[in-house]
Amino acid sequence: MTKELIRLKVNGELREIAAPAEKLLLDVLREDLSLTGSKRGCDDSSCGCCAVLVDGVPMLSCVAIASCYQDCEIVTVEGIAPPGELDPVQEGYAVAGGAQCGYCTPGFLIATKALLDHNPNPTLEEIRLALSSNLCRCTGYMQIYESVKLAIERAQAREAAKTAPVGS
Amino acid sequence: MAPHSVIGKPLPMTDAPGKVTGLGKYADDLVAPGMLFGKILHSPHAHARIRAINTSKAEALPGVKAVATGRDAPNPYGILPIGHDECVFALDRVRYIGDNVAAVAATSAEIAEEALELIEVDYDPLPAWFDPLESMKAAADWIHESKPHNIEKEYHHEFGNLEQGFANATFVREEHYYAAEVTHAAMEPHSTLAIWEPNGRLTVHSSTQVPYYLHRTVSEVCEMPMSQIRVIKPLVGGGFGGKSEVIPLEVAAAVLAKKAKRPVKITYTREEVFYAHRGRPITIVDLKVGLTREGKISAVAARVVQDGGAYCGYGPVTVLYSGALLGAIYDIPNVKYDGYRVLTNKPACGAMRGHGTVNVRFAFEAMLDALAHDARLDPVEVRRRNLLRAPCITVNGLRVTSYGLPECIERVVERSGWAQKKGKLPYGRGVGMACSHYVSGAANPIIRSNMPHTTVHIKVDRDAAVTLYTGASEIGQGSDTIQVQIVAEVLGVRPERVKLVAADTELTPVDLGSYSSRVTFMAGNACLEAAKQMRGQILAAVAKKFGCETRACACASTKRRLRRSISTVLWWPRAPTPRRKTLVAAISRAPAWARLPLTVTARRWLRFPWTLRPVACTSTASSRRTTAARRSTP
Repeated sequence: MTKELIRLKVNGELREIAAPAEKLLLDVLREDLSLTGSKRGCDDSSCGCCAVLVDGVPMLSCVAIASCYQDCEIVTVEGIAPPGELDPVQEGYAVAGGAQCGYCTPGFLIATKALLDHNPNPTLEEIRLALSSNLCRCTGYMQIYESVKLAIERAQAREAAKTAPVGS
Repeated sequence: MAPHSVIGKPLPMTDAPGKVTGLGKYADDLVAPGMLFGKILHSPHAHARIRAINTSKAEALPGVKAVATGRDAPNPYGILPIGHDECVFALDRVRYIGDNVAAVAATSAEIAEEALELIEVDYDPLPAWFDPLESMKAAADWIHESKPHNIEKEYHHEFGNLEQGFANATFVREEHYYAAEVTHAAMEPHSTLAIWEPNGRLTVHSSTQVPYYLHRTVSEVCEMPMSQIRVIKPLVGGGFGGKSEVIPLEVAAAVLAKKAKRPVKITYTREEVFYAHRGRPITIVDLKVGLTREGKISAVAARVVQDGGAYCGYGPVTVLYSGALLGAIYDIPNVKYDGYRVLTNKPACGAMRGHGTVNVRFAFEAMLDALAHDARLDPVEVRRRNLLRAPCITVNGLRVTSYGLPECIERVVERSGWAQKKGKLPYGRGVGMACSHYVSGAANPIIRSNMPHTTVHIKVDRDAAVTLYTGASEIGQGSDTIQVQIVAEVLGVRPERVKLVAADTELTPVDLGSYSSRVTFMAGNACLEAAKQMRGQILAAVAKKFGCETRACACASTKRRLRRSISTVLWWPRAPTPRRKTLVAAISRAPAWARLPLTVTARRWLRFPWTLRPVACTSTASSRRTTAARRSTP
């Protein structure tokens, strides 16, 4: 099997791997880069567990050919916050019970992150629409919507703390 | 003072950090040095004899390290002691499309798949049975020779006086109901990593709800003592019953690892998950119910046929539950049940949420609505008139210790706006009422014995770190968290101080598994008892040190929670927060007990055999739930 050099920018770092030209982005992330946060769930691109951000847009990595994304910024669930820190989205899901068995959670986090990056204060309808490509078999959708709302609150609180005048 | 400081509070799940950062490991995320990839060859025939299997071409393919067939692991197994009818690979016969024939371990998944195509199998097709009612009539070509007419199990129960019951009825209906087959579809496909250790031991990491049954089965099939096998349950991406018995890939990985003397990982494709199945069976219900003029149920007769698929699995339990729970949620004086679990040439059915009860419940509740209509009663009213009065024992001997259904119905009526909506919504929309229930606790172990159903150990170390060792399997339902909450509550510490080691057969004591809503009841009560014992030891040591009585000492999570008479407070040493909110209370400084590592053990046997759990919900015709009944149990 012929392999070629693939250069990917993943979570802000340049990574080089040798892989068959048609290798899927999900397999490259999981097998070659040990980024196992992105999950394989359905084999028919219906569950959303494998979603990653490609230039800020959520994409199913299980139907993406890795070598086609060499000029893109790829962000996986491991990269949505610096090591040791949690993004407000992650906090929201952890605190409000958005993660039950947790297998769909990386995909939901990616979809939520993309939503809030583009629209920091979405309505419930907008949240539901943005998460409509992701399945949760624990049927925890209500908690997931609560998690997104909590994430919005936490993000706003962080923003307020950042902009508050010193000494106030 | 609030009754509890930790229990009943919404806390993040203990494993949430791993789940929201992507760093938590599920079985398919694990790798081992020198790991091989396993693939399973599935039968293309629904029912066939195997004349011969030739694996020589597959073995010769470069990169193939082991090929296993039925002859490598001929010992039969099954979750029930009466149902050991499966072998990891077919010995002489395949019984459904997808049945397991052979497996390959190779250096890559692609090579393993290529090798599968090189395995030559000579099949002799047999007539196959797909319809349970037809299958029951089969005179020959039975799916298992030991099961005449393809009937796996039948039950015939009668309680009370059925004839008299129907004679007392004013309204009698007979209806036929058909419920389709469904599968769990957990987001995580099954995955197992079996590691052959150089010292001849085997470590199996698997997505399972029942690590200890897996431990036992691997021992039987691989003919290795259990002491040489370690089963570890990593994070599990949902089970819903689909991982509550041993699934072929788990044993296949172990057999291949033993043969190749290397680590082997098998992860099912989604297609293979459907072959493995173990879902809720097709259920055909013929139901006859009588209602008196006053709206009281006077007699129930049910004939239930379940399409169990090709192997036993949990089948006899499924069809038993279908009948046993028929007589429980309402006050039913006379009940007759005829249940048949039938084998067909399809993937095996098993336990799925509300094991065995859901389809019959659907039929019964639909029937009750029809009878209410006949009797010109409101669907709510007919249910109100048939409530049990707990505590009681039902006609078929189920002991109901707690009930809650009357309150549940009233809440649902109120919150759904029943009175305003019933019969008054626009065309195409409506509300309906149905009640359901389940037994929690799992009264009987699957393998009958006098051994405890669960055991936990609690250790308090020199720096007062609390560690809970439990065999209970977290599969997303929050069992780790509730156990930590219970221990923290009793010891008067913050939950962050309690570390948890779970579901590792080498480190944790036996727990039967996550099924039948048994974990909080069993493992939770064991945690409660162990933590109380530990608290007793700690307080006795404190009392001895300070020359006071034990009952003058207490544990609490904050000073406010203590009796006012306690003047001196003893903090847990090196409390993790600046405010030192975590403490054990009373007397003075110098925690003498903390210098002694302590371990206590508590076990849980069954004390309260059947505890009923009511669920009621309403739904609109557009199938949107207006009243969420309960949080999903993965």
